[in-house]
Amino acid sequence: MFDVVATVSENRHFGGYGHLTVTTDRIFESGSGQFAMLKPRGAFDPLLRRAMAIYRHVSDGKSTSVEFIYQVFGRGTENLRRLNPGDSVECLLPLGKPFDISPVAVGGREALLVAGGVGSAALFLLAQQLRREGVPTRLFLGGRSTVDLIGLDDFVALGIPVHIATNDGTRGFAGFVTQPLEKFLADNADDVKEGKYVAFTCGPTPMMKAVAHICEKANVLAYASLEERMACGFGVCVGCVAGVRCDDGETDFQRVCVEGPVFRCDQLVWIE
Amino acid sequence: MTTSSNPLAIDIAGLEFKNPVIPASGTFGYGLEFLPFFDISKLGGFCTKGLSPRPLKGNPPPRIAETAAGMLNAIGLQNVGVRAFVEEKLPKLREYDLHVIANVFGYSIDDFLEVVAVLEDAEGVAGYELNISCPNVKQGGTQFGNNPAMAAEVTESVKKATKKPVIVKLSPNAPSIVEVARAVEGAGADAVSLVNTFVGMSIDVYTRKPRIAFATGGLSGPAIRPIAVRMVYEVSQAVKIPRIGIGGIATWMDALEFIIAGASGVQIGTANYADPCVSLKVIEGLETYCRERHVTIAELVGTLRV
Ligand SMILES: Cc1cc2nc3c(=O)[nH]c(=O)nc-3n(C[C@H](O)[C@H](O)[C@H](O)COP(=O)(O)O)c2cc1C
Ligand code: FES
Repeated sequence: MFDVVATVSENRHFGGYGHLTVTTDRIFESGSGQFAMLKPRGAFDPLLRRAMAIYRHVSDGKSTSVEFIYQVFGRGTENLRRLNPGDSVECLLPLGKPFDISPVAVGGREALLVAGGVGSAALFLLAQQLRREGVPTRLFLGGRSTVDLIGLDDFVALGIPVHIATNDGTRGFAGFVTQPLEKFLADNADDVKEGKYVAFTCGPTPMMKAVAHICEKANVLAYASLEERMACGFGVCVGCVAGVRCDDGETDFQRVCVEGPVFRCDQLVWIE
Repeated sequence: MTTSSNPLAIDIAGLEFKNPVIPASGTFGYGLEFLPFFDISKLGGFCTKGLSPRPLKGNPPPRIAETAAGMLNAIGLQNVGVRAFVEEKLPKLREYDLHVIANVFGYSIDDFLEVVAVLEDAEGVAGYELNISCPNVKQGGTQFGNNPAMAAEVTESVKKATKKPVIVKLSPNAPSIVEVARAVEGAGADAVSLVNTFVGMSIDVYTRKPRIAFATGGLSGPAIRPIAVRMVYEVSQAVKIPRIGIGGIATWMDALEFIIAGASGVQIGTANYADPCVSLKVIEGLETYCRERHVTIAELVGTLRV
């Protein structure tokens, strides 16, 4: 983890989203599921940085560029949207614990990625990693409309099967992404029973909760990458906690930025 | 004007600080979390997260909400407990040259005394800051901070239990912060630090729910700074013991406002989240100011021209 001032090399806008690429001389690795805390250099309004999943990471030995996809819905993300190539961004990264792919990276298993909206940005590095490790992977991608299917082309380019759902029916299944997931699990009930699948989800809380519920019923091991409001991103404010069930049955509050952002769904206590 | 080699050196509550900059409780973890960013020996000192006799789980989420020029929090004092602090954090902290000030929290006077007793047996704590001003726990907390008599009682009890300096952290939510300051001075406090957070509230108009689960939270950040400066000024007129100024400090100029108003030291809170190295930048800015003007921090304390 370090704090670096990076330079914007690109900031594209589409729909209510932005796709930001920043470059730095620092050479480092980003693990799948890790994130950054960002703000334009010198900005004091709003005061705090914004937590953003690392979408893509490219290092060429001389410099590193990191990409983020964000939804514009407040002043912090609006400030990110206004960044132009050449502008400076304060980046604290890489933060949080990466995905643990060991349960799925054993022969014969398959990873099911389930993403809603901008949540897919937290799963692209994972999809890349799974492909690299030769783990069969498929994606269930949902959004309100076609424009909300974040990263679709990049996932398709990885060569993994993608099941699409949009609420308005403009693309793929008309409805929630959890429906194609349920259907898939029902169609492959024998494989499900044999423990072939491990699920990884990121998206709006109600969606992740539903995915957790479906996986629990089907006895499928599932991980969720949580998004809590964060002040610091590196463990000192204790503001970003999630309820986690401990072995003694008690609920503990763990920091999403340090102990997470990825948690096992069967250990999460969903609070809303 | 003095020719001191270090214009930032200052005495507070009998402790010599190499500079007046002290990260505030709850915003600097147990100190070690900042080692990836800078050498914490460059700081005058720091205040630990509030330590209670036993670990506390804290409040359910959401615990924080950003507001205009600040944030609300209701963490509920989640902490590892004083014994884990002594066993796991303190040995590592002893390797660094800065004053570790233990922020002490309890629901009762006995709780305060228990935490202090555990820390008295350990090595590496320079002094105590009594948190009688946390607005985010259901019982305890502010019941001491809002009441001069009770604030004096807890101060006196702790003073009897230690020879180390005792700093009392004041609540801006008290009916009169000046009265509480006078009371703890009378009870033997070596210094006061002020302010803790202001009770505030923020509402999501779509769900019509409070934006943090505890409903109310403590407001911190630049939004509170002018009120905090005014309170430091008023308390400085009323007591002789040193004051440590807290509230929305993000730059060296902010820190100097408090010093000129009457504070010997300053604590930096929320700004650490936005910039983990902010304390170093404040120290550098203060040093430049002092050197350019041939003045020391000690000479600047309480020099407001009115
Ligand atoms: C998330 C958070 C946690 C805090 N925890 C504590 C604490 O444990 N004990 C304490 O005395 N003050 C605590 N405080 C109060 C700060 O130490 C400080 O008094 C206050 O935030 C005002 O300073 P600032 O505006 O620079 O943040 C906390 C503040 C924040 C924002
Ligand atoms: S965001 Fe501060 S502890 Fe996680």
